[in-house]
Amino acid sequence: MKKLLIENFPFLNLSILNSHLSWSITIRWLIIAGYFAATLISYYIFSLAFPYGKIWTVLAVLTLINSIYLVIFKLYKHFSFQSELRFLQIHILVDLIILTILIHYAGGIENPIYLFYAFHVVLSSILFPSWRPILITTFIVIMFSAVVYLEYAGILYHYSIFNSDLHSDAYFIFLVLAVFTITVYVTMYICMSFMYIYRNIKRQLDYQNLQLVQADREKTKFFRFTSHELKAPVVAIKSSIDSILKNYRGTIDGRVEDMLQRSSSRAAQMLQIIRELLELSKNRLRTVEKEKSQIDINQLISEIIDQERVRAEEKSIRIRQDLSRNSLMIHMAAADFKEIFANLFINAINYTHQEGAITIHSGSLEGKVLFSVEDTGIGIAQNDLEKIYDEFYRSENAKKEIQFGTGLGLSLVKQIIENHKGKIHVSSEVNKGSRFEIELPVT
Amino acid sequence: MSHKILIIDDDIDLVEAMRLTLEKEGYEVVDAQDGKKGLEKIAREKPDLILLDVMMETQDEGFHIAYQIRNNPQMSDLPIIMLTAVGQETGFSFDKDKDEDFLPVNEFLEKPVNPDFLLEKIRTALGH
Repeated sequence: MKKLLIENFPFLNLSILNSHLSWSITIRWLIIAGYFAATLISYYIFSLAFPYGKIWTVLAVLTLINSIYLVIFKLYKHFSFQSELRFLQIHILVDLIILTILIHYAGGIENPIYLFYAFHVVLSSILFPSWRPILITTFIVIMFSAVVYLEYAGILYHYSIFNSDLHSDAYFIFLVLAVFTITVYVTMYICMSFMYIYRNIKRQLDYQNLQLVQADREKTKFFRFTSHELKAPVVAIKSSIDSILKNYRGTIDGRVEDMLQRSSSRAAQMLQIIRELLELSKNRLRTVEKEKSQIDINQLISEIIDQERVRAEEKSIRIRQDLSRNSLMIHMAAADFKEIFANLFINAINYTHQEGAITIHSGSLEGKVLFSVEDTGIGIAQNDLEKIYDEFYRSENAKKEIQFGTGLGLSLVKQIIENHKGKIHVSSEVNKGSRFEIELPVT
Repeated sequence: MSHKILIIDDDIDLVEAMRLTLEKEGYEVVDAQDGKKGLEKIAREKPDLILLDVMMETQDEGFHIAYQIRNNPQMSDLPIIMLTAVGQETGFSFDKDKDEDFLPVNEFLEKPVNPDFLLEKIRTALGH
């Protein structure tokens, strides 16, 4: 289910949900203030007969609830995608109940503030995946109808604001409810269709992006292959000629010797051309990929985790994301950051056994961003710790776990971090797990 | 007594080119085309020095062979001269003094190696 959600709803990930939550809390303060101001205006200017005490009590309750949200949001850091989604759903459901109570106190069907339900329909259709918007819209229709019916039947007291008896007029009620129901469902349908198209486009973009990355990888592989394949024959030719020249100098005809010397020089020339070609292609790749810009590392971390989630799920590895609430901006090439995080994250998956766990933290401190990747994997022996960044080095227990590997990943990670004037620190215990901590300056 | 040199390289033409130079110089030369045969030859032929290619069947087969030799108490002192095309290919430069700790070889030479240069390095590695 979790996997399906992520795959089908590309605009949803932890970092996006996180910002929705924070936004939802902020906007609620504004709504409470706005509603309170509106009651003051109606009390002092229009002298409408609302049950002000009750309305203010409800607003006070909402203020308290929102404060609790804020505390949970700030303190409870170990959110998973699922729990954030649930948290956001609770926000919307509680808001709907509060709104229904306020509608009841503000005159029920007489007062057009029931149109505010439309905001929730639109928001939930944009935010929530799959069938949830339908559920929420249905919940809205049922609640509003219930209030209207209970007031009509006299079970709930009707607070009349215009001294009209509209609440007991069955035809009027039927008309309003019918129009209301059609409006919310059509709104929901339009929003969901739009999001469906939007998500499809995003999915296509992601797919094409993946293909581009693969094509790029193929290209690099092709250069590696070419260099080796092209170089090997020339090396053999030059070595053979040089060997003859060294060992038979003086015993062969001077003109033959001269010709062999020329052949050796031409082979050397060809090697130089191969070298330059490779250097050229490498540099070109570098400049294309390495444009620096302001990047949000939380967002990139979430993206990469989404990309690699399938691998973790194959081994039933739990991923805990403890990302900072605020976006963490740094000035760096996105490709470089991805290289760092993807390497560490994929290593964590590779070297963690079934049912293990990986925890990602991120935060900031005095002009630096910090993040860490912690796993419950095979760990690194104490005497291997300082060698893991060496080119081609692979520890013995790493080789036991995964046979193939170039031993270049961590050396590349360290190189990028140091180029960016950052730091990497590792702590590890064999069979307990490893923790890589990275510190990068913001500029 | 002549020294015996084992060349582990999958490029037979390159092996023959080196063999010519080495035999002229009085060394006895044996060869192997891959890492597995190389390790067998080490046990059987007891060479005094190894010329080891980095890339054979896999990208870094030579490195694995070098580690296995160094981790085997019976052959851990065997001098190894590593030959590679990798220097040009990936942009990694090897500094023997700096990299010795993780790359347990006596020399790291980039192909093609000039015959005189190769002989000089072999003499140094053999200690004479």
